[in-house]
Amino acid sequence: MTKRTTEAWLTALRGPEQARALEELRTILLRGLRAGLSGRVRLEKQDILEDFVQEALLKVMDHLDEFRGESHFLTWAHKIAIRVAYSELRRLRWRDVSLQDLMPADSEGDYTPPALSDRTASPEKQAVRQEMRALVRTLLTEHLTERQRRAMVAVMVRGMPLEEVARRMGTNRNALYKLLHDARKRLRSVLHEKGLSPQEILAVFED
Amino acid sequence: MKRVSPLRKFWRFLKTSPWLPWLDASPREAGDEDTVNDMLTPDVLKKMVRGIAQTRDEEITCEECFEQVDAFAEMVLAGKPAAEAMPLVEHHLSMCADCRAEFEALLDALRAA
Repeated sequence: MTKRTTEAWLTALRGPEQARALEELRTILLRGLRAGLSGRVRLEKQDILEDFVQEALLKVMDHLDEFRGESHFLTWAHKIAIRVAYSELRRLRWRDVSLQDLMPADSEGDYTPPALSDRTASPEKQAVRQEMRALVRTLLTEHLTERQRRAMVAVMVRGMPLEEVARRMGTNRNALYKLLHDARKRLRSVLHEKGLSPQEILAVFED
Repeated sequence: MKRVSPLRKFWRFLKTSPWLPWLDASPREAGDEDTVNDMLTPDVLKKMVRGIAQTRDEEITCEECFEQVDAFAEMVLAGKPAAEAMPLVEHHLSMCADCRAEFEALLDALRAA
């Protein structure tokens, strides 16, 4: 690893050594991306990483003046490269999946139809579970706005990334997080009004 | 197993057809009442209720998390009490799968350096 300090990196990238510093940074970010993504995402072709690094380098240079020095410069640059890569990989991964196609993925292996999973529960427990299920359904359908509900279902059920849901809903990830946060707060307060705690509901579904 | 009406099957087919992306903009979307009904499996339900249980009045957004996550990652790797020093970042990472995935990748990238 290059032993440049943050200060040395900034000087190099802003001065006559810029071309060499960028080449070094390219190598470092590429190695970082390989390590950061391996085992997490399936890459159809390895050279896509080079495209990500190229885009990250442009972003790093564009935002150099906004770097506040709260971490080492390289940590900050890796963070940007990872954001670039994940954004694009998410788009590619989900581009053919419709928002409507949201049943839990079989590959997750943990989806059991409610009726099957409940065969082992006692009739009393099954009845209470049905009641709680109906309650949660009411929470979602009657106490959330249309957008809150759509976002919550897409994120919670299929595990669709916020970024992708946001893109489809014509908003951005930051605003979508706020929307979901408001939705969760709303549901929490409705439960509270009904005299129920989330823990009590969870207990009903524990075996 | 639950029966799916032919009309719904046809609708699902339409919605997944790659040449009909405009349907995604139709008013009938994920989150409709009967869609919600289909989806409330015990696991989904637990995930949702856990999310409600962990909700705080004040949470930071993805952008605010992004601004601080590099410093947070350095603390974690240095074995410093990052969660205590930056509790809002810690909480956001526990609530947001997108940010968490990027944070974990960042840790691995830094470890490889």
